[in-house]
Amino acid sequence: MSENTVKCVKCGVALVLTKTVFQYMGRSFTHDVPTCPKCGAALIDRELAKGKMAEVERQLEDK
Amino acid sequence: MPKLDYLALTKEQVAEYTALCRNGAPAPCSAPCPFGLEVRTFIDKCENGKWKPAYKLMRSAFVFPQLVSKLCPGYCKNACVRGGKNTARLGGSIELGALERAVCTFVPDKKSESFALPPKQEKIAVIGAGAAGLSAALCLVNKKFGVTVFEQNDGWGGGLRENADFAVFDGEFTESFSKTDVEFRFSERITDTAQLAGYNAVIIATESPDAAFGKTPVSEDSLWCGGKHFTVGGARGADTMHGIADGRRAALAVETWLQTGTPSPHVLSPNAGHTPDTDGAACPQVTPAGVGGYTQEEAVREASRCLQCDCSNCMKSCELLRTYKKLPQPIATEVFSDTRVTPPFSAHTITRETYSCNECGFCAGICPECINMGEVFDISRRARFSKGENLAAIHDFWLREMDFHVGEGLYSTADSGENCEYVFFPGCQLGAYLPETVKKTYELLSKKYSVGLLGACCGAPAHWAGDDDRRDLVIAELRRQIARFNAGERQAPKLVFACSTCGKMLKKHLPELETVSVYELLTACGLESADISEEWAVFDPCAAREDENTQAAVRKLLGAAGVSAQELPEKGRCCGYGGLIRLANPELYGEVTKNRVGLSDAPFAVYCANCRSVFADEGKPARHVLELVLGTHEEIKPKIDDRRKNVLALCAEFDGEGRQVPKEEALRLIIDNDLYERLDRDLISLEDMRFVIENSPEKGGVFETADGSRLCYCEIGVLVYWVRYAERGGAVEILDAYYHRMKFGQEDAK
Repeated sequence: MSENTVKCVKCGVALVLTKTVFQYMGRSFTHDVPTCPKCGAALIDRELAKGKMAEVERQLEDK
Repeated sequence: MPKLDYLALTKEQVAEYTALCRNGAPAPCSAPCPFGLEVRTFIDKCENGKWKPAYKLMRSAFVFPQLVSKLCPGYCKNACVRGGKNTARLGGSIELGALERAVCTFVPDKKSESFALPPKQEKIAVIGAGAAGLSAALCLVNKKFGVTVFEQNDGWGGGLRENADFAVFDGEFTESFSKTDVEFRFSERITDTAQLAGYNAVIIATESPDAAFGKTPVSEDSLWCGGKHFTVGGARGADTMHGIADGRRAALAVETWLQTGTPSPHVLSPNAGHTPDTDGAACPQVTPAGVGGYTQEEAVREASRCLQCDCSNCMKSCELLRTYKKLPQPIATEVFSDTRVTPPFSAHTITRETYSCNECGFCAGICPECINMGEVFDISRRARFSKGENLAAIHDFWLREMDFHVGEGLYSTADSGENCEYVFFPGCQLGAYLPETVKKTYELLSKKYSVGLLGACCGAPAHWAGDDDRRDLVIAELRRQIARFNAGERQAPKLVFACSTCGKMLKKHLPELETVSVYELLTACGLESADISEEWAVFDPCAAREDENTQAAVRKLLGAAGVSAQELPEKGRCCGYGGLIRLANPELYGEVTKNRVGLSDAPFAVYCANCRSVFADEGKPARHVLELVLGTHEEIKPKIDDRRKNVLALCAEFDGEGRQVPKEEALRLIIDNDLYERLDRDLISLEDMRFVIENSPEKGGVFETADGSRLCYCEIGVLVYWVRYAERGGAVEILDAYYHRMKFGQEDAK
């Protein structure tokens, strides 16, 4: 899903890749995800949620 | 078993809890061996053709391996699990003596080893050059003591000189002492130990206690006679084998005594401590084809008959322990060390294991010491929760279900006014999966007993999550609800459970109330024949493993209903649901459920709604015992939304005024059946999706994609849910849904 083709419904603007902070199990790190430049809402697609994120979630849980 | 206190857990407590674990304890054959030979290791070397290491093990234990292998009567034989009363079944004990003799022939280079230790100043006298005296002398000189052996005869060997194989023994003695500086003073008779004033210690290795200069050991298991005197072998009434072992013990005892002033007994034979495994296939002893003993190939075959007796009952039967290859003692130590984790300097080591345990207690039932690893992991869950180090996301779904069942989904007939003798507590899942069965059971019970109905959750999800406070809130609500049935003077009602996990929780946390299973009460209710022809296998839930009354009642009910029931090879295994491991460890959960399904080809008659749901998901035909005997064949796989509706319908029926079956929500959702099934299996309900769609504009975000569909998110509980949907006229079609555990936000909002 290309970020340019996705719009934030509330702000009506296209999303742009933005550094976003992820937090879990007391740790945080950043990753670029499509985000609304006005309201800051970020989009996590299924591939990211069930792929890399799930993998990192498991690693953090095991620490 | 000692009780573990997770709030003040000490290393000693966890060590004590698993201290009785018999894994690694000596095999039964090692115990009667005067030398304490580590038989399992020796056999392992033989089985792998490692003859020199095998010989070295013998020399370390026997001192004179050729002599011992020829003359030892084989104390181990009677202890071998293949021998004794099992001989006919298991083919006879391992021919350890023959193996030892063969190993001696396989190793041509028998040169003794020299130890690079600094010489010691102390001088030790040994009186007598029989086998025991020579053993003591060799072991002492190997420790670099100065050793002098006094022998009244003109050569060594004592009573062995008469043996037909003395030439062999003589050769072994010569080889053993060839590189030592032991001083042998033959033909020199000691008549009084006072003659040995210049020695720091005296080993009396004469042929009998009568010739021991009046010295006797201070205790039965000691060689020390007080002062600087020690007796070995014949001098303390021991035979040749025990005498040689005494020589080794004496060297250890003398060394300790000289260093500390107190000689410890240094008993070589270990205590055997485990239940031998006797399920090895029968396999007869290997008989050497030639007269010279085993060939190498024959020796390997005989060694491979050894059952390597060791207790690993729990490892063999528990998928969790087998997967992680961790034994009880190391696990207990890790449970303790995990309570001392100080991030970022140290990390937890058994998180996944902790949340992967079904806590079914099957391990305790097959452990000869009843060690319950479920309790150990349970301690870990509680300790983690109390420190905020729990994995909230893996229990969130069930905790929300629990909240529903003790809140909106709680139903009770207490308002009907009458005090009752019993309160039927079907548990949250029986009503959710089998509402007609709950109704029919209640109806049947009501005909015979004074009984009320309380549908709620027992708090098990909170307990499994390690959250004692949340569990206790549920218990407090149950206590309040049950008190409503007992407004008058009458004795508190007995709780009638259908789910054995509820039964266990209620017994433990509401100990003031009596409990009985619904199956026991129903046996007196007079059931009609269920007219079921196929044969069923009874799958007893793990929580009912020790509840013999319930087990018997279930079988009686099935019998009365004419249902043919067979027994499974293992009773009371967890279906996989216990401990809520499904999200914590999907792979292990899959393995456990697969193994349970494989217990029998027959369909399962279960009496836990969760077992039924697990098997339904796996495609295994399974019915609840109540369904079978009452003839209420209900939907096999109701979805999360259906289950909720089922419970709300029970609320509307039983909970008196003001409760109605909820009407369809305003937002009409459409979903493809396959997708709905997949999402349901991912534990995402339509109700959750509706919540996300309705709340995302304010509480999350909504995006429009190129194809016109929308993707929205918001948090529910500790998870972030995403739903992709398209508007179709007045309805909304669900296209996908998923969730993740991480929270996210913009960097400046961190």
